[in-house]
Amino acid sequence: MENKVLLVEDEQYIRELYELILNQEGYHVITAADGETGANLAIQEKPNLILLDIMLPKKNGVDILRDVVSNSETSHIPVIMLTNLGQESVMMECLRLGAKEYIIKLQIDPYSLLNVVKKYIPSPKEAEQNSPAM
Amino acid sequence: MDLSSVHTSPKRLLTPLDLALVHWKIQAIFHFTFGIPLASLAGISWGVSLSSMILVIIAYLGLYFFIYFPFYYFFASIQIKRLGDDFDEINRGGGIQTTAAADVVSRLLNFPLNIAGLIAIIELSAFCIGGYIYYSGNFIPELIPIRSLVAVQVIFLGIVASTNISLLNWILLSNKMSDVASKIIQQYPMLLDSKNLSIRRIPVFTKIFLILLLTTLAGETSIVIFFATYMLSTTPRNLVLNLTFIATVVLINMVYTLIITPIVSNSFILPLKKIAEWIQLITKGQYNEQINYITNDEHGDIILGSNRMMKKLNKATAQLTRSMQRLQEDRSVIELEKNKLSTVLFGVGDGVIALNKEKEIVLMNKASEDLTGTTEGMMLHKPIDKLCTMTDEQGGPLTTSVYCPPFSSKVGAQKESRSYQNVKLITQTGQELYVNLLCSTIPYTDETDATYIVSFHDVTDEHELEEMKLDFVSMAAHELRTPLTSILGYMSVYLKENNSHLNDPQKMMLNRVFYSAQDLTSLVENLLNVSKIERNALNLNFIDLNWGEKVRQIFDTVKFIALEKKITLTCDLPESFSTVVSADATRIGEVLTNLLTNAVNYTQVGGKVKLWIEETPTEVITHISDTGIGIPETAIPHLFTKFFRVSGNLEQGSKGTGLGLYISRAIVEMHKGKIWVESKLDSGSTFSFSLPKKNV
Repeated sequence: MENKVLLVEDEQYIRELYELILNQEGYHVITAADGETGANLAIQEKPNLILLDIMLPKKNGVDILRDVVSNSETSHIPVIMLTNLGQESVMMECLRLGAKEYIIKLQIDPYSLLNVVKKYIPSPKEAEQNSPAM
Repeated sequence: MDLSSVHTSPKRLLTPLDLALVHWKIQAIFHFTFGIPLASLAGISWGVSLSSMILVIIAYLGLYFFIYFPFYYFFASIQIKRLGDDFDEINRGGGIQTTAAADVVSRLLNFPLNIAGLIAIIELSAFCIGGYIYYSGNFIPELIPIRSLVAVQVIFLGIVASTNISLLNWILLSNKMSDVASKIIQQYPMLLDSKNLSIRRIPVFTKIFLILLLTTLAGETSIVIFFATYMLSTTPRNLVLNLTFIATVVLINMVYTLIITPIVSNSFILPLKKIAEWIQLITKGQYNEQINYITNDEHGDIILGSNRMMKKLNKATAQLTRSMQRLQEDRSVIELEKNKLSTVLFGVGDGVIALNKEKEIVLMNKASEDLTGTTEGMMLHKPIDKLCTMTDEQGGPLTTSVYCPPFSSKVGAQKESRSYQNVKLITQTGQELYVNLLCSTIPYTDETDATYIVSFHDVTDEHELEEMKLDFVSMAAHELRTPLTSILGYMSVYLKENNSHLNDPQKMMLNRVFYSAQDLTSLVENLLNVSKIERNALNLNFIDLNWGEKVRQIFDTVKFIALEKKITLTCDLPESFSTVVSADATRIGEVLTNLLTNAVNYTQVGGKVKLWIEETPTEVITHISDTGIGIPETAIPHLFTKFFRVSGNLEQGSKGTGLGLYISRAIVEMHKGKIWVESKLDSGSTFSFSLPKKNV
């Protein structure tokens, strides 16, 4: 499966919201509600994209990012930081470590986020709609 | 009887009786041990009858008691008077000036020699008169045949007697006068060194010579004279008688010598005794004692020399004591200074460590000991790098090779220092601290081996506070953003998915919820921006930005809002415009968005908003004008300040936090640009901001 998205998000409502719209778009979404689970899932599941929060219980997102990029098995996976933490220093650190994007959740509506995800993994729904025509 | 009523005058130093007694003593010694026995022998040898001899002796005694006694008493009175009023004053226990006292002492000490001379003359005259009486032949008839011889013998005897008596007078008076002078000196100690003293100098050699002469004259001369007299004047007798005669003369002379020697030697021994006593006192530690005895001879030299030596020694000792005291004082001052310094160092809140050239610790104050959890004793002469590990703000290791400026041993080298903020310090025990570090070189001196001073200002608390502050803002941001994210997210999904199922009033209500949540979002974002601006934490990411492109992009997003409000939004921008500015694309975009949405919001339906760009050689100026309600002139100066809102606008239904323009101004100014407004009430406003061109 080429459309596996790992969503690491501790806030249940937000997690379920993103899961909902990503599912609607046809992505296979696996979720983690804390840092440790997220880090483990990244290795076990080898997703095609990781949407990563920073303020997480047990293990913070920056550390997970560090693990992901330093592990040869996961270093190829694009990571999008999806957080409400707006500190420039944290943002710079994440981009330096290799995060593809740094998105403030509040400043992006769910559909715009979907557009961002599509940049990395083409939408399975659109692919499905297009394929019969081909 | 009331004893206290009996007036006893103080004992005088010298009375006429004292002086007369000396003379009488001398006369008695000479006459009774020498003169009378010899004269008797001479009488026997001359063949004088016993009765005549008794007559002569009685006359002699009479002379002694009735002439000498009054004469010498009278004579002594005159002599004491001659010593003067000053002496009289001292004698009575009074005081006089030192120079006068010096004069008195000089006269006292010269007095014996003068008297001796006078007495020699008197004595010799007396014997000469005696010789003349014998020569005239009327005194003792038996001597008439040999009267010339007797006269000559009497005169010779006179020479011996006057020499003896005057010498004895001189010596014994000298003793007496030295005694008196000593007592005066006790009253006037400065006399010992006085230059005003003028005493005739008689060397000890001369004295010894004269005293030997005295005894020799008394003995030898008399023997020769009497032997010759015997040979010449009398009929020959047998040898035994002659020898007995001579032996008797010798015996008389011996007795005389035996009596006179102790008296005479005493005058030599006296100063020596005084010196010996003084030495005893000195050895007992009484350095201030001096020998109160003056004689102008070698003894006197010794005494004067000893006194001077002792004075100098005393002076030197006093100086030494003073020096020692000063040294002690200096030492206590140094000690005090040292204590002061260490107290100050001890009290300083910052850790202070001094290093030598090898960067080894030579001094640590209390604060630095506490800070690093070590003690000076433990770390002395150990490299400071072993004390703790330090890393700078960027996480790079901070060792002496980094923070110690290069050391210059040149005299007069400038003090150099390096400082580091928020240095992370990990102690040997693993404790983590944050410090501000300052390392300075000490200009080279020989006086100390300290070369560097490293001071640590503990900012752990401040650091933690700063972290907490950052944490608070980011926490607040995070905590506010999270529920808003949910609200907005669910609302947008709900509105999109249920658009067709909702009737218009429902749509209207939900849209209002959605817009209000958006307003809340921009308020939160603005508050966060303000907080960043105030903390200087707004970091701009400057890139080369095609200003035309950016303007068109923002314009496109705002166009739809204007369209909804039926406001004509125009952009007067030539296609060819492609000037590049150095700017943070996001932040400057926010400024432009803010100004454009403001213009749209504050313009009534059907109004016009226009954007155009002006170019100067150095700047790009962007203008946004509207046909809105305008801004009162009084409000313009406050327009760009925090939380300022023009009153009366709220009723117009427009929204705003009063932060947009404040943030815009801060962002423009961070781009080294300016922002301003021109406005006329009821006829619209023109907001403008400038941005410097790239590389101009």
